[in-house]
Amino acid sequence: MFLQQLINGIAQGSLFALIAISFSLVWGLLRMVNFAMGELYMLGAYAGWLVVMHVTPNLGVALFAGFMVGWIVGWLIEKVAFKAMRGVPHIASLVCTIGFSFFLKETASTLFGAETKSMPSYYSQTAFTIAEANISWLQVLMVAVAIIMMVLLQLLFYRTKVGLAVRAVALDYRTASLMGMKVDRVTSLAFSLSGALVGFVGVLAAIYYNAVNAGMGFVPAIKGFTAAVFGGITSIPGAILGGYLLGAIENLSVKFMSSGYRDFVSFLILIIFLLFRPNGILGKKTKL
Amino acid sequence: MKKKLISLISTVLLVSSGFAAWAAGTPNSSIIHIALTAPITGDYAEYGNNFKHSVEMAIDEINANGGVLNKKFELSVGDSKGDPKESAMLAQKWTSDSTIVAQIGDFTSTCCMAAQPIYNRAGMIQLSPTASHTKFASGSKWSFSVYGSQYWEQPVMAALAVDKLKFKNMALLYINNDWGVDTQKSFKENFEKRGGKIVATESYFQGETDFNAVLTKLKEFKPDALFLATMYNDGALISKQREKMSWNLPVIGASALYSPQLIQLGGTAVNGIYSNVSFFAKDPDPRIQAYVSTFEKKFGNTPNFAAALAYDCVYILADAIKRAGSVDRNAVRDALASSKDFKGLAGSITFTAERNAIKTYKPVQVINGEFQLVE
Amino acid sequence: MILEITKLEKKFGGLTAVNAVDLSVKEETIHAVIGPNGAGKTTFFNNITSIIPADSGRIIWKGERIERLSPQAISAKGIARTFQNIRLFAYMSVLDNVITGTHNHYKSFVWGAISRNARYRREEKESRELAMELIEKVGLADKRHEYARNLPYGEQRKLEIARALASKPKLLLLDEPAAGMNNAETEELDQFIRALREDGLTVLIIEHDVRLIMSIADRITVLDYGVKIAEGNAVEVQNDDRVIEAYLGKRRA
Repeated sequence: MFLQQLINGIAQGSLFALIAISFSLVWGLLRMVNFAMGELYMLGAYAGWLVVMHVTPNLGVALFAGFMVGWIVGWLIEKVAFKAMRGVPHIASLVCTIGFSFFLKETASTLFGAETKSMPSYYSQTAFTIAEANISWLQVLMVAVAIIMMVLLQLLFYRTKVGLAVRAVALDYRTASLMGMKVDRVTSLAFSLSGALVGFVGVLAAIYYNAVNAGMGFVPAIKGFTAAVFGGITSIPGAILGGYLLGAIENLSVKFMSSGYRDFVSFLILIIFLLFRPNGILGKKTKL
Repeated sequence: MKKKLISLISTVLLVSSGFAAWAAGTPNSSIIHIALTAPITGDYAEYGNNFKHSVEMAIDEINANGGVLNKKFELSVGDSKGDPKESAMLAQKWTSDSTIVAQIGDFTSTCCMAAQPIYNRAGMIQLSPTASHTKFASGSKWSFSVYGSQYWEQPVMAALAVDKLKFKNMALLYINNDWGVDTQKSFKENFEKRGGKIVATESYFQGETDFNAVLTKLKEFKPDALFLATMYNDGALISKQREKMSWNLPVIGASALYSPQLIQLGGTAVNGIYSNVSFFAKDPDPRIQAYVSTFEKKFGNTPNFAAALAYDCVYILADAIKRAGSVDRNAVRDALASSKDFKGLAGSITFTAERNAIKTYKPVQVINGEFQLVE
Repeated sequence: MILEITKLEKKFGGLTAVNAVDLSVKEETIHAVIGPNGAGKTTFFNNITSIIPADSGRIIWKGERIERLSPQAISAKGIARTFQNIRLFAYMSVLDNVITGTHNHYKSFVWGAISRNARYRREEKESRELAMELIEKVGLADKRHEYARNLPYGEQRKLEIARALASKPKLLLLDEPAAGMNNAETEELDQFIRALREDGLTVLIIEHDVRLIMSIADRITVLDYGVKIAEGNAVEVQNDDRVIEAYLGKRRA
């Protein structure tokens, strides 16, 4: 059953990795944490749920809806919490994202009701069985989609001028602005993209766990942030690695001790690790 | 939405009118002011709203029939959001209001126990419809639970598991809070007393959504059946993830699983799950049918066990006030403690010396997407 | 005159870093600004490029006032610069660093990257080609995939110039381009800057290497304590008493 736990870990790790990338993006550009990330995830999940229940059972459309809602709300948060607050101490922006977190959560629970909504299953049949370990098509799909997303991001960052601009702004926004780059526009774009990513992940998670509710984003956001710091928040490959490692550690730790200790174990490992390598696994001081 | 808004506004009005009476400092001798603490919003909102609707309904009925001791009931409602801190804050608020005779609530044992010292110090009845932790009612002479403790619930489930379903090896999965730990422990004791064996025990914290790891681990122990000490929403999630793993085994659980939401959320994955109830909405008893149909007409949903228990709370309190002949807090408490064979919707109520109701429970099972009484 | 500055002033607390400086730069010349350390030269450059806007005074670029514009806008007007303390994107390749400089000229952004339409593809190709051309010009072609931070100091300076040129500027501000260069490299730089002038560029340069300045500058402005103390060609400046005092006088001995 070691293998089964590892498979579960990798599937869950895909979700963590994508959330971690979002934290990395925002950190890279603004040296900031968006505390409303969990709620963007939750809104994405609701968007996917609405599409599946009321528009079309097409999974692709649902994922796209989650992506778009994340994009729009992410854009809005950047405008209010960061752009409008430029020049005031950083802490004000942080608090503002915390405010967004509560606001979005309460809004969702008023709009959709506080009770958990059921999300239908997709591709839940077993795809492969290896040594008694079952891998469902959904798990395959999640890992594949996560990898595709990561490759697309990599291409965006390293093969396009937009990506070059994002990297330049992340490395040194003053110099970037002297190169004629519209720092505001680049920042807004990357922030929206990070929102879109978690919105997208929200839909995946809703399908994987078959549930949507207003409080669903809290734990994954904390885990995603942890994964980002673990892997090195200044590095996107680091964030990905951190996500998969955290997923694997969490699930494997359940095998060896009571599941009640699983968060305890992963955070203990994190703290010990960061004592020795504060920049994370792949983190450097300034690299995105 | 609209309905919610209306009930929200009426709650606000009700609460503020309660404030007005308090602020004026003139306790109105023609009313009996009671308080309700319930999770109106948050994870347990379904239960909280059932509380509120049911209590309002019971009070309207009593008031329409002339009240008690020629006084009308008046209600103040507070939203604890299922958060022990909020529940304790509301306890501070209620106990500082001298017009309030007694408090009904809260929903979870954790919330009730967080607020307990405050009610105890102030000397105010803390009558919980649903607190089922064995140490709750015994913790203060002012605390009462009409739910009955695990102590009365789990023997029924253990008997079902061993005698009827012939399970020998079982696995336990519980939510790691006061209630979950207690429920799981109580089932284990009763199950082992009857010769069963618990082969694996696992837990999780509130807010968890990924149960794949825990279920994978439990599966390794090859139990005959799984016992769930969880609320309905987690129960549905666990069942769906279990179904996806194609791990098919019988599941039995605490009465907290008994909710139409379990079926709505869990779909086919919850088919066959056993739970138990003290109140069953399809019970042919005419009193229960009258209550259910009025409730459905008024609020649009079928009342759950929490609703029925909250309804019983109002009536048993009214009965105690009548027998006490006054609204003096001490007199009412003593009268309440001596309640005997009070016929509630959710079974009859007699309080033990530790103020836990002794009740009987009926096992139910989900069959074809519906709860049915187990013969 | 392509650039006309009048009464430019910048104070930091009690210190006047730039004090009522007037400066006129003629098109297609190499104009040097020299002065002892702390004379306010870099602040003067920062004022022109609006990284640190001046407190008062006017900057007129081709007949248009630009002292209140943002750094991006000034860059878009055709003014590019390098930095005394090199400011390359350290964790970016040599090629990518230069491509960032081309940013001004191209319109397509997000939509282009998604749709990869014809204009977008053309622009990407053009900016790549321009970048490669400039890299070859400064002699870094075989190092184009290195991280900028891994280059030796002298080559980082060259790279910074290439990046500045990628924006196709009319005016190039060079802040101590020869610092950290050996003699051979400085000689190369001398030729390179002259070639830029022949190509029609105007160059405003801050430099400590007096030999380089005397060799290439058409006109020299001397600052001391933020005040302009002399202006003229190489010979005039070298014989100015106040300049001699500023460089050799007792107060700095």
